[in-house]
Amino acid sequence: MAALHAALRIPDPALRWLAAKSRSERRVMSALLAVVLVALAWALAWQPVARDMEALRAARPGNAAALAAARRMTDEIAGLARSSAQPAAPDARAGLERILAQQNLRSAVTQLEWQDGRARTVFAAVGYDALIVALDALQRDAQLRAVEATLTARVEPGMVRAELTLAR
Amino acid sequence: MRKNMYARSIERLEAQLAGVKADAATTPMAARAAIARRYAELRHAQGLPAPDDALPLLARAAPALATLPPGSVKSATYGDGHWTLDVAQADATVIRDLDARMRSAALPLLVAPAGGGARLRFGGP
Repeated sequence: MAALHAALRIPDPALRWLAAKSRSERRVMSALLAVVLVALAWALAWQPVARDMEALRAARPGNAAALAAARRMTDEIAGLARSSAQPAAPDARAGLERILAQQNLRSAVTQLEWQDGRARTVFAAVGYDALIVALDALQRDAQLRAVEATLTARVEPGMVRAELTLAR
Repeated sequence: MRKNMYARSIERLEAQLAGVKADAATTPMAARAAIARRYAELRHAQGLPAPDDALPLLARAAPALATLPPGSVKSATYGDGHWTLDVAQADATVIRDLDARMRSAALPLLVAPAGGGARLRFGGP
């Protein structure tokens, strides 16, 4: 406490200087000091707080959406955890071949290799829309999904080179 | 009666948190990621797609991506629950507009300049 008093004490030279001033001069100086203190508080405290509040306000819709999504997921997790896992469709290779044939894409496949239950499939040139339809069918009917994919635009409009890794 | 309600609530909570590691949830972001991971595992076990699979993610982003000029997406790569798009000649206004649309679709975009264009990344937590 004594140390605080000592720290806050006005130095003697300043006190002597103040004593030499008239009453009205001291009032003006007090007013100026108050203005400076208010400006400092605004710059050092209020401005960062206002900035943080604005950032929090901007992030609020995103956070609310994320929270709502997490709640939906946890609600569904309870149901999924209770139900037993669905047995995988009989044969992934047969499923892939069947869907590629159904979508008229078998001839567009330029490379197809199976390794550790994953199919690395390359289409040198395939229509983007046809590829998306095929991926949807693979997920729905053969439980095969793209775990890795690289699509590169080709010169022909709507065509891509597609390198996919499909797995269950 | 009340005891039964409490017991059911606790059972429901335990079922919801089954498989979500408590030590993973040290931050809200980690908790969100752990929930999403567990949710995806259970969906895949049922033969169902998860929100951060390649196709569902692309479907959620498609309305916003449709605002990009035709032919501007040079390549798209998916892996680990994220899509990375290389966009050529990306106008700053177009990217800002896309960012706003993606944000409203709950798919925040990471944008990095890349060779006169931009590299965009979006996906799960």
